[in-house]
Amino acid sequence: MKRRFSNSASTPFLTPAAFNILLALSEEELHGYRIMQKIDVEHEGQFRIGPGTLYRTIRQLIASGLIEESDERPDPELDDERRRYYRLTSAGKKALSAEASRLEKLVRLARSRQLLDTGGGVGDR
Amino acid sequence: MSTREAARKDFQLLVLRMYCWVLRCFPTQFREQFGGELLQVLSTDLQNPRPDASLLWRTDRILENLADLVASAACERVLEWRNKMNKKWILQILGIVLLSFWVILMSWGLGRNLLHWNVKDPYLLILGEFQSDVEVVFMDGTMFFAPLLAFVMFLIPLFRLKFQPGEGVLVQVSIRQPGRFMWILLGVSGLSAALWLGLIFLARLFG
Repeated sequence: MKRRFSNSASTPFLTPAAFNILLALSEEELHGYRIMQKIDVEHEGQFRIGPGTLYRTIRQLIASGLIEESDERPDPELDDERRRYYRLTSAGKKALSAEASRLEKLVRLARSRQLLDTGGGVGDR
Repeated sequence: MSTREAARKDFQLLVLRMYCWVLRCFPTQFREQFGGELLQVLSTDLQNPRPDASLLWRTDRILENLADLVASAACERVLEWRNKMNKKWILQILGIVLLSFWVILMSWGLGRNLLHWNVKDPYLLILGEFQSDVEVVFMDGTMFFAPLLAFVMFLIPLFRLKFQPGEGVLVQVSIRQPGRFMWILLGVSGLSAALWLGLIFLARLFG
């Protein structure tokens, strides 16, 4: 299968969907629906990944070696057995960190051009 | 169960059926790997809307999911097709383009000359008013050899050459069994080439 995302940190570009999935998985192992929910909550409902896009991106991320399926289940008693959990690989962490740095540079550039408030975060108006 | 509750369940079942139907459009490999999980996510999303979700919000979410599924299925199909494509396919696609070009020009020319269609001369339309000798020879050559060339283009990928180095290099030639689509392409191009070249040969023979 052709690799969409490189697992080398020198290749910076991740699609917004891939970046958000990696970001959601950076804290804990999650299953598909929880990834979707987490992204929805983190963006306060302003950005959503549809189920089709979610699994397409998951497939590409697995093929690129940025995430992998987890064998462990956080709480098997509370959870549906059919659900699969995903976790970040070390290559995934590197790619996420490289992309975050790239975005940070862009935000700094935007701030230097007075497109953002100097003291606030990215989301500040 | 109240009537309202039953109606809601029926509606959810109907939406799930629609989701299932769209899921069938995904390539088999993707469906086998993620189909079950994807349906489960869709079902959970359908059964657990936001507590303050209005009917409009729910409908919007269903339509959004359906649109996302359709777009994803189309992307997966394109990706599957791209992965299947290799150099052999490129030759076959070139053959199809060449054959289509020939069929269009032939029907155009025949329609114009035999059926007296009121259409412009295809050579004039493609090459313009002022045609150089090279252009005319190229067009004539294309028209003359197109079906034969297309036939060869469809035929080449069926041959497999295997070199075995050693004392005197041995070349093993094997022929792959063509699929139904390939049989059709070979048949159409072969028949066109035979008819066309035969017709030209007879015309030359009898003046």
